Order: sequence, then C-alpha cells, then structure tokens
Amino acid sequence: MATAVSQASSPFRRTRLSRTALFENIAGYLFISPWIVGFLAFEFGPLIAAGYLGLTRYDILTPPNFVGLANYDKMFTRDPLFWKSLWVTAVYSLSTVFLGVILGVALAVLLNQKVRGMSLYRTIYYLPAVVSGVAVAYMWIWVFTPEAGIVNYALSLIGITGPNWLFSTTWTLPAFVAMSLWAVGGGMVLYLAGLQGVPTQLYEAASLDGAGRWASFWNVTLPMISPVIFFNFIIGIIGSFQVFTNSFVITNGGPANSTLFFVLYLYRHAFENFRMGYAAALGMILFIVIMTLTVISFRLSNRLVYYEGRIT
Amino acid sequence: MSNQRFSRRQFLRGAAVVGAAVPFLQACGGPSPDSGSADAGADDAAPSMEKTSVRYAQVIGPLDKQVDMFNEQSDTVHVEFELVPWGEHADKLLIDVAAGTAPDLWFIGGPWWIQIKRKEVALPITEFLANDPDVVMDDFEFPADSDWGTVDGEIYGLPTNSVILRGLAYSEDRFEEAGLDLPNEDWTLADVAEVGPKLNRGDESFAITSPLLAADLYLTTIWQNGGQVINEDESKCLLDQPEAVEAIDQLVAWREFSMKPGADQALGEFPTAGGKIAMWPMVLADWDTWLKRTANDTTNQWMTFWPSTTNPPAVDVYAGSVHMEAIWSQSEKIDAAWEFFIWRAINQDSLDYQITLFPINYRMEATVKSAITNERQADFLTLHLPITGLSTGEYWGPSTTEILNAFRSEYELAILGEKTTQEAMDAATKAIDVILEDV
Repeated sequence: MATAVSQASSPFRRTRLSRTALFENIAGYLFISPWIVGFLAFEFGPLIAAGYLGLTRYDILTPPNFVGLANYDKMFTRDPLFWKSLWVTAVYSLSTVFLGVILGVALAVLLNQKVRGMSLYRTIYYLPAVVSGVAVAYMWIWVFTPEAGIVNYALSLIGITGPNWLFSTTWTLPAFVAMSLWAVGGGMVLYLAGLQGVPTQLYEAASLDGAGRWASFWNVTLPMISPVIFFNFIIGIIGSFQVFTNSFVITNGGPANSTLFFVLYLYRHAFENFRMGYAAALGMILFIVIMTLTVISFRLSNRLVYYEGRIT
Repeated sequence: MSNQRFSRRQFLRGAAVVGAAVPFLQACGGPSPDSGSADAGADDAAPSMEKTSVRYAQVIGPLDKQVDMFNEQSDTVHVEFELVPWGEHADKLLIDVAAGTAPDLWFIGGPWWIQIKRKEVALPITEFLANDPDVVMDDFEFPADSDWGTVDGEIYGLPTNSVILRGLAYSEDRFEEAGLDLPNEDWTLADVAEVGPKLNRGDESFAITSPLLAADLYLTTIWQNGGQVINEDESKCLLDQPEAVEAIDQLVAWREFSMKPGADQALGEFPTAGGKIAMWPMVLADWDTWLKRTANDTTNQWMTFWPSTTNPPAVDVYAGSVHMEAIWSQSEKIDAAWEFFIWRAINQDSLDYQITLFPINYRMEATVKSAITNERQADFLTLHLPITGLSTGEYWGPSTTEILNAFRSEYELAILGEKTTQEAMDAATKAIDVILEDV
C-alpha cells in the first residue's frame, strides 16, 4: 500500500500507455526512422569516429595508430596555420553574419512594400541563393579581376583605382565578405515571412502613440521578427565557419594564406597531405567552436529575442 | 494535440513505405566491392563467353576513345571508362580505396602519386612487365617516367604520357613589333627580364603571365641554379640558401612587367590567343592544348625551352610532372586489368591515337613519324626530345603538397613586395622544417 501511495504521488510515475497510444508511438518512430538511421549513420557515427580518429595518426590508406593528444598538442603549440585559419574564419564569420543580417532585414523591409512587380523583385533577390557555388565562384573571379573586372571599372568611373582584390593580403578577405552578401536573399525570404506575420494593429497602436516610421521599426518590427533574426544568426554562424567553395576555387587559400579558411585547411590535411587524423582533430575543434558560439547565442537570446506569448 | 488516429491500414502503408526506403538507401550507398558488375569474379569462374568487366578511372576525357578501341579489339575484357574531374580525382580515389570500392585501374596526378606509391595501394607490376612478351622495356623513352613508378626496385605504375615539361611560348608578332629577337633555347631568365619592360604595355597587354607559375617551373629554376628544396636525408629545408634565393628572386622580378597575379584566371583558359600576352609558360608537346590556346595555331606563336637561370645552368636539369596509372592492389580482376593496362601503354593503335593528343612515353619518336602527317604538328610534338634525357619528376619532398603550399604562401608575399625574397624563403624554410619533423 505504501508503495502504491508513493508511486501515485511521484512526479516521475510511469504512466501506462493505452494500446492505441503505444501503437501511435511505434508508428511515429517508424515514420521518423529513416531520419534517425540517417542521423546515426551519417552524422552521429562520423562524429564519434572523428573524435577517435583525432587521437590517431591516420593516412586513410593504412590503419590508424593511436597517438593520444599529439594532434591537439601540435595544433595548439606548433602549427601557426591552425591559428591563422581560425582567425581568418572568425573575421569572415563576424563580418558576414552581421552584415548579412543587416542587409537581409533591410532588403526584406524594402520588398515588403506594396509596389507593382514585387514578386519579380523578390525572385531576383532570391535567385543567387539557388545558383551552384562553383559557378558563382567563377563569376566572382570575373567581377573582381583587377584590369577588366566590373568592380574596378565602376570605381574608375568615380576616379578610384581599384585594388587587386583577389591577390592582395589586405583586400581578398573583404572581397570574400562582399561575395557572401550576394546570397543574402536566402535569409531575406525568411525575414520577409517574419515581417508579414507582424500584426498590423501593433503598427496602428504605435502610430496612435505618436511613433514615427523609425520608432515603429525599432520598437515593433525588430522585436517581432527577432526570432527570425536569431534563427538566421545561428544558421549564419554555422554556415560561415564552414565556408569552403569560394576560397577553394578562387584563391586556394592565398595569397599568402590570407583566405585560408578553417575548412579549407582541414580539407588540405585530409585529402592533400594524407593526415586524416589531424584533419579529424581539426574537425572536432570546429565542432567545439561552433557549438560554443551557438550556446552563447542561445544564452544571449533570452535577453535579446522576443517570443510572442512567452511568459517571462 | 491532434485527435487524429492512424488506422491499421494507414500504419501498414507507412511501414511499407519505410520498408521500401531501406533498399533505396542501401542503393544510394553505391555498389559493394564485389557487386559492381554482372560478371564480377568472372576471372575465377568457368570459361565463359562473357567478357570480364574492369573499371578504369581517368581524368582525360578523350581517352574514352582509346577504351572504345580496346573494347572492340578484345574478346575477353570489357573496360568501363569512368571520367573523374581533375580537381577531385585524388580525393575520390583515396575514399574509394579506403572504402574498398576503388576502380581496377586508375589515373593519379604526380604529387599524389609520390605520397601513395609506398602504401601498397598499387599493384607491383615488375613481373608482369618482365613476363609480357609484347613489352620492350627499352622502348620506354623517358628515364624520369620509369623512375617515377619505381619504389626500391619494384615498379608500381606507368605514366599516362611522357613527363610533362613546360617551355616558354611566345608571340612572334609581339616580338617583331618591339623589334626584338625571338626567344631561343639559349635564353636565360636574365633575357626575359631584359625584354620584359620593352614588351609590357601596362594594362593593355603584358610581357608575360604573372610570376605565379606551375610548381615544376619553380623547381626547375631552383635546381638549375644549384639550389635544393630539401637536403638529401629529407630532414632540413634548403630554400634559404643563396642558390635557391637567387633563383627565386629572378622570378619575383617579373612582377615589374607581368600581368597582375590573380588577373590571368579571369582571362579564361585561352588568354594568349588574343595577343594580350607576349610570353607564357606552356606544356611542351601538348598539341591539343596548343590548338586551344592559339586559336587552332593561327596566332603566329611558337615555343622554346624554359629559360635557364644561367647559360649554361649550374645543373642541367628540367623538372616536370609525371601523372601515373596503376592497377589497384586489391582488384579482383588483375589479369583482365593488366590486359588493358599494357595495351593502352604499348599497343601501336593506342599510341597512334594518343600522340594526336599529347606526347607518349613508349616509342614516341617512331610514333610521331608514323602517325602524324602535319609537319608543324610533328615539329611541335618533338620539340622537347632534346631535353627529355635531362628531365626528372617534380619532387618537393615526402609531404609534397604541404611543402609546396608552405613555399608558395611565402613566395606570394615576395611577389606582393611584402617581404624580400630572402625573408620569404627564410620563413618558408622555417615552416617546411616543422613539416619535415612530422613526416
């Protein structure tokens, strides 16, 4: 009896599922099982494998040899390119994520106006997001070429001699940041959806309170779309730390490692230098960096993101 | 919460869909090593009329015609041609080998070959060569090629074509316009530096492509000047030594009259046809590329050897890439693979076809005479014969790509004027020493 009372009052008491509920649970798991299998086989499994391989010396072609923390020791103490690639990636990430959010929101606000042909404008701005990365990279080579590129031509019209964008330790990274903004349309679509979900009565109320356009934007629009901004921010951080294609195709990390992004460096070790163990260790560091930034962002989001209906 | 319930029928349908997805997902994983073709394991089977099918991975598209020729001639073997882009062929091969699904025969670029040739990925073929009555070892004409496939006396692969040496291509029109003598085989890098300013017209057209060159040209320049990248026991980098620094400095000087580095990429594959460049490095005897880069040989251009650092050079040597082909050591169809492998390398029909594209390494001179009727093409294809005996494979050390990247990043700083050549090579030496410690 005592046991029965204790079980009844426990908040963790196991509830007995009805046949139907059990049946539904099994059905649910069966339906998501392709994803679970895919996740275990292609994401979680490789993550565990990378954790192990990061502790080995492994050239892919012969069995791995366990070397403990030697890869990490080398990375932190004797590999200047590890720090260089981390720095290049961090600068790029910071620049692209913040500029991407600002430009994306600005574009979405513009494209949220009631103007004729708006669908066409929206399509045009979104198109870059669906073009193949390598094709885009070749296009940028043309755009930024020093002698005949359109950017330097435009600058020459206002009397400025443009730099050698893709072969300058100063200008190559800014050029890559500019390239990344070209695909801002992907995020813009989400902002646009967010903007269209802002109740119009909030603007009316703000207007009645005497708010101008800027005050309405700052006090109504931004808080209301802050979950979308936060989502794009997280996705932007994750994506920008994994940037690869443009630098692989356009500069191959040069000049003088000024565009040696972290994933390119990892790729070189894995597939050019036959150091898969070291590459796996680099991958683990990348995972930790992205995870840390994501956790920090989520912590900050409690103060900066407004969720409608959330009880704080 | 939704009140919607699944009926048993709906559940069974769903389960059937999931069940059907499993084999689909399996299929996405690609073929297992022994299920690639219908006649897998045919070598071990009883005599059959069916041909044994082998997979051949290659980056050079036009070689599919060679495969077609073989398939027509062979009664016993069928070759499946798998075209792989150059940029990812090595990655793909590594992954395929690790996964146990590598093609039976494969192509691999020189830098990667250096790093895998000691790893038992390629089948040793010394005995095959010795026992094949059709093979005459002396008819392989380029010593560098033979060395390249050999480890401790055992041969593991044969080159796809002859060693790839680069020469100096030039526009005769541009030299004549400037009233300059045409480049010739006695030229040194100092001659290039002398004519460079006279041929340069600023943003309109340039004396030479940028000082960013193919890796074999850096090596040729360093070696010809008596320098080395690493010492003999491969424990120390020597790029900071005067011979290497002096050689590299001659290339760095080109920045004064060359196209800006990074700009040549945007000019596309064939910038030389438009007369914008007076001199450019180009693979000797690669007729197919020559035609593309010179608008079908209509632009009044010709080639000579790459200029040496001094005349005569301190060391008479030319470094070139050697791209290899090998049979996978784990192939289950080695005999069939060998049949095509050696046919491609020495059969006269195969050689006659290949010589129309690029130089070969087996009976090259005789094949040019028998297969090429165009006199200018024949002259072009045999241009490099006088220096092939001096050629050797491009070798940057045991971790060749890593060492080359370390060199290149510092060399770029010298080109940009952010470091002197000596400072750049000192830094490169320091970085390469760390790499050598860890090999």
